[in-house]
Amino acid sequence: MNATPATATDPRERLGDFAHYLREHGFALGYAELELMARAAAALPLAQWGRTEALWRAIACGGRTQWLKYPDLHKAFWFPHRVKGSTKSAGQTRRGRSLPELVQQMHSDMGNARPTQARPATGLADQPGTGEAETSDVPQRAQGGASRTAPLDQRDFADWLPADMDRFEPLVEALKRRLRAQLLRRWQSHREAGVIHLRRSLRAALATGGEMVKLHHVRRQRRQPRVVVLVDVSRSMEVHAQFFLRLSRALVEIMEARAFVFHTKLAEVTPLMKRRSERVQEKVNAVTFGFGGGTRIASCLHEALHQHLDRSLTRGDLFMVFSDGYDTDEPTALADVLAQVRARGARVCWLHPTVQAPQSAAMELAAPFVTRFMPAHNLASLAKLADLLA
Amino acid sequence: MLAPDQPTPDGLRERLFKAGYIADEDLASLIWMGLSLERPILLEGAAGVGKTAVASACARALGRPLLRLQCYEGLDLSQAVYEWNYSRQLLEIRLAEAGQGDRAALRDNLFSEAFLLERPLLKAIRAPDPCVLLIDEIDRADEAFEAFLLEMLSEYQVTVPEIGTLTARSKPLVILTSNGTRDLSDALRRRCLFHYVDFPSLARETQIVRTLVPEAASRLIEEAVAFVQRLRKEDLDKTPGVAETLDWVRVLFKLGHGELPADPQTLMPSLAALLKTRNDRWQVTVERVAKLTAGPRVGQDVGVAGAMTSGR
Repeated sequence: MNATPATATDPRERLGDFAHYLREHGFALGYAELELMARAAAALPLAQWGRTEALWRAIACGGRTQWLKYPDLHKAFWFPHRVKGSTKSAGQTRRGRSLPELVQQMHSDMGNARPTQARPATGLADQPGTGEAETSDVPQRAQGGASRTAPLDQRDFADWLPADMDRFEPLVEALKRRLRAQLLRRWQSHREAGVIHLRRSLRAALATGGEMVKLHHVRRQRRQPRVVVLVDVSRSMEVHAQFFLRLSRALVEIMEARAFVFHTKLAEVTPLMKRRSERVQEKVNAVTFGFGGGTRIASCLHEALHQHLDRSLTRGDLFMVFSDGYDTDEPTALADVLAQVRARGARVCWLHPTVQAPQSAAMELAAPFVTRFMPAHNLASLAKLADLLA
Repeated sequence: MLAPDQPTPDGLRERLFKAGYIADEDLASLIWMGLSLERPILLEGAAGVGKTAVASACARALGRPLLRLQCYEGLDLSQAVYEWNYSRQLLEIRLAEAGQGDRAALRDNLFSEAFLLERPLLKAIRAPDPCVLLIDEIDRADEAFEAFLLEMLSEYQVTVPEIGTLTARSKPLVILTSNGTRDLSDALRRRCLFHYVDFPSLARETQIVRTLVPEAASRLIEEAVAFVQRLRKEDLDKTPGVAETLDWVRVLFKLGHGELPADPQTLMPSLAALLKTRNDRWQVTVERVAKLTAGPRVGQDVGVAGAMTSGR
């Protein structure tokens, strides 16, 4: 069955092999795409066969990661001898592999009698033998081309610590469900739900001669409470800061929280957490690295409240502090700033890495202004995260 | 397979150049393929790299009208596809009631194309001559609208319940752009030819600025572009795009500079054209600017040589 010379002459089949190869690397290629690739190659002037890579790239790719990956795969499959360090695959000197010849064949094939889509690549699956030949090719090819691209195809590097994110996500989702949208006093027009806004409907009816064809609805404006996360990254929190940073990343991703880190100074890290890059951890470290010795919780919270949040923190919002409560500021200062937060109507949640609530002098004074303390020393303790809003 | 007036990829590149857009080879091939295979094109990339400009340049290069649909949250079919012209329908009914019109004809015609207000999508496929349809920032529209687009993009037809299916009179060149704020569905991606528009290389960007700001001195352009290219490598919240470079060069030109001023302090106010967040302004200090302006001079030679070879 393995009549290599015979199969090598059918350009569609080689293209089928290529599609199979791409699918192994996570590309979603259907028959329609395959046919399109053949048509694109056939439509291109023959002298410009070198452009096929660009054309096929546009057809095969569906996203940025694939877009970046494609040139390597293309080179590995069609020009194995050009790929460095893949001497094994270079041993496959099968003539069918040559891209220029393939394109030429497509031209002669498709330029002839069949301009319509007379069962193009679908033919591959209908012939029982060829399917087997295709699978038998796989190990051969995997020796060369795939070995070079194996690290690339592993996964999308965009997710920062994917395993951790998986575990935090359900917890934060539960918290999000608890966080009710507030109904505001103002009205907001809505497409189909809500009460009929008579004045607006009548006004619109003028255009149709007093006949109310379209009704205008309004409902109460809704506002999703904002969430602010402040993570203490001082030396006393060294062990726990990583854990809290991951949690705050989940909060940023799911609840669109704003995240800050503080020590003796304060820095906003929301953009770093939102950017999907594998270097996020390094960057957060870099931001926090330069900070000095003690922890100035009160002045950092004050800065966050008055310089960064300002008027955006209002009634019903959630102000979360992840800290052990050891403050080098004046003991009364923390109580003052938390009182200001409460005066805005926001809820203050204090997550501490110890089992007991922090007992420092500053915390003793500030405790009345904290809506809720919660221990968060490990994942299990976070199971009650949603109860913060109970 | 090709229509007689269809340009070749190279010809298309030339035409785009004349229309004021400097396309690289891949992009020109892509648009050519979109034209000859009648497939929509999905352009993705950071804000300000010239995605929207591709569409308007295509329209100019091909001599076709440009129809633009700006997507936003809550965009619905009555704004994107069609709406019944209620006022005209009512008027027609009143006329019939007054005994002026023919009632039987009215019954047949009340829901006909004559009473249909065409919005961009329907207009694009019902136009007698092919046009360029730009669906801008598709990632801002909601999933329901995206699902609707599937029918239109694959079959080039729109179904109006009262009339039936309206098929295309001409097939437009459809260009979708996305900033990547939301992940698009696989079904939509599958139907489109995908292109990731990256920040241009030094040579290309110099050429772009030179074409679009011809009044500025070429020394200024080269130095400014080299500066922006180095700035992009910095860790900024919002990386400046080509649009920002153009703005900045215009500002520098208006300030009367023939080259990048040696004193970084004089550059600082004009950087407002490049740095768009408070954090970035704070990060890029005078010392940082001085370092960036004094960057390797080799870059300029590359720019000149590159521009000359690619500008043939």
